[in-house]
Amino acid sequence: MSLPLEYYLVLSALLFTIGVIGVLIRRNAIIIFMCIELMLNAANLAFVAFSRHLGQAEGQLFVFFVMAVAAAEVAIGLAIIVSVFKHRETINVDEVNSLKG
Amino acid sequence: MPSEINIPEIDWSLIMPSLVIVSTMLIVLIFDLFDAISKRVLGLITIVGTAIALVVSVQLLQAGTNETQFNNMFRIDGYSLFFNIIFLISTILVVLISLSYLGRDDRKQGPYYLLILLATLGMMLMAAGNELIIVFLGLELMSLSLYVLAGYFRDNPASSEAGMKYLLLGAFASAFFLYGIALIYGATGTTSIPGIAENLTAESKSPLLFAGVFLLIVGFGFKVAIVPFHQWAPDVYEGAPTTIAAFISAGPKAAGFAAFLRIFMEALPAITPEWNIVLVVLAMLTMTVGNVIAIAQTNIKRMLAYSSIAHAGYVLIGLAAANKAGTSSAIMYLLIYCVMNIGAFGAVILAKTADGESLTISDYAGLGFKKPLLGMLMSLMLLSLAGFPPTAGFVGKFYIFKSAVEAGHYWLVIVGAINTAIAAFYYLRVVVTMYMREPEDELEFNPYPATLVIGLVLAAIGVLLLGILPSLIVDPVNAIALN
Repeated sequence: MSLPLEYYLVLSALLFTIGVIGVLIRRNAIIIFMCIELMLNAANLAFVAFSRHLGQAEGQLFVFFVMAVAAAEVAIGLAIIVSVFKHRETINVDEVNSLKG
Repeated sequence: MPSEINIPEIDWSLIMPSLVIVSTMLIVLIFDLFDAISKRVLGLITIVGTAIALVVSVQLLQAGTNETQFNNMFRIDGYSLFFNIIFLISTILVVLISLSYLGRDDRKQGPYYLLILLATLGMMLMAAGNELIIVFLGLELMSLSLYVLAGYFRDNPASSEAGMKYLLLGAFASAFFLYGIALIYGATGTTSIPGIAENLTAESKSPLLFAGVFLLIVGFGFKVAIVPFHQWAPDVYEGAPTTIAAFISAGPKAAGFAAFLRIFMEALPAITPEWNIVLVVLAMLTMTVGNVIAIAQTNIKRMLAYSSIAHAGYVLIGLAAANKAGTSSAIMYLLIYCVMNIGAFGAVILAKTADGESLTISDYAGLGFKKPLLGMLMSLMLLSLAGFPPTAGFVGKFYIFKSAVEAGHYWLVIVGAINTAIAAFYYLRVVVTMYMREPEDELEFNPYPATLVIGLVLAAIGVLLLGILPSLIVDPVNAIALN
């Protein structure tokens, strides 16, 4: 038995929305970063679902690239967050606010 | 059952500009390993490599190249080559102003130039991408390098903070961009740019497609700092090293617009009326918000950040015109904008005092007479940004507004003209401060570094040359603009 495409798309849209809401309301930089990863994975799910639905490999190929990019982003992201933590001893984005005007 | 794999034939001469950049990167990486070699050489290698790539791009452009590579994934046409020229000129100027900005024996110079080259390569991929995968990979290659560069001065809390803000908002934007691609893929069944245009028939105009295009606009909006997705820009420009602020404001913005234009003009012409109206509204908002907030700034880097947001709005006018004149004027504006904006940031670096940079606008009081060269260069760049003749800024704005009139967007031109007047106010305020006000306290200025002056003089020559002889750029740009 195979589920129709819509099920996957709804799940993917839900995951994406949870990710967006998480970025907007959470204040811890690491959690925000995890929510962004959730958004990327929601896109991956949509790619795979479409790819299966269309009977093409293109979408699945895209997912491999996205996973590699996401891994690189995590490496850089965590390094930058650590360097902020060294200065401020906090990664709460509301408290890291010396730049404004 | 097809069992053989077709390995596409690669014409190495076509991808030479990217290859030169990659080789330069490797040379910088290897030279950085040896302590016996002065770190200063690395910057010079970067300039030489970038200049070679620039020459190769110009040659390919003059030969009228129009081909694809790697199974139609990579497009080498006049459009991508001209954008290569914009990116490479920006990179050369940024490296020239960086040479003295980083300490002479700073051990961190190697990765700095490496990341600048990587970002440049990412931009070149974005302009050449004929497939959304390539555009996405180019975008990420560029963005990831820029996140690191923005937070490059780790010992400086402001720089780290700028890096983190740029990272979080940039990654957020990339996720929107990616989800947009996924939805467009679902609606049209392909991620190839010409393929999307082919598959986009009346019945495939589904809500899925519009949702995808909307997310794509949001993603690009963040990357090129369009209102209401601009909040990261002032913070990042203020906190990042000034050279990197110059870099982020120039090349990456041009690269974002390169992909923006290519995707919307070549893949989505079938729904032009729908996206057009969105861009008109965004252009008006971006110009107005950018210019009005810039008036209130006291920090010159923040002022330039808001001014660069406003300039993204002017480029959007060209996109919204959605015709050949619009594309060519947007491309021309991007080249002019890159040169004059890097010049303006370079002038800020030139005004370095013994205890750091003077970033408050009131610090510039009396500088015009005390430091004639600095005053002249700064005034020239600001007048060009404001769009006064006979500078290049005027030529750029003239063609942008002309294309909008041709497309019938009169309101856009009126809003743009009002904005030019608002912008003149805050640019001229700096010039007036420099020439007409007495300095409050005596600031000790550092002597001018030679490389920085060379970079600035080159930018100044570019701004004046294009302002006096616009045909130098108008004709080549018209030849390569997307239809």
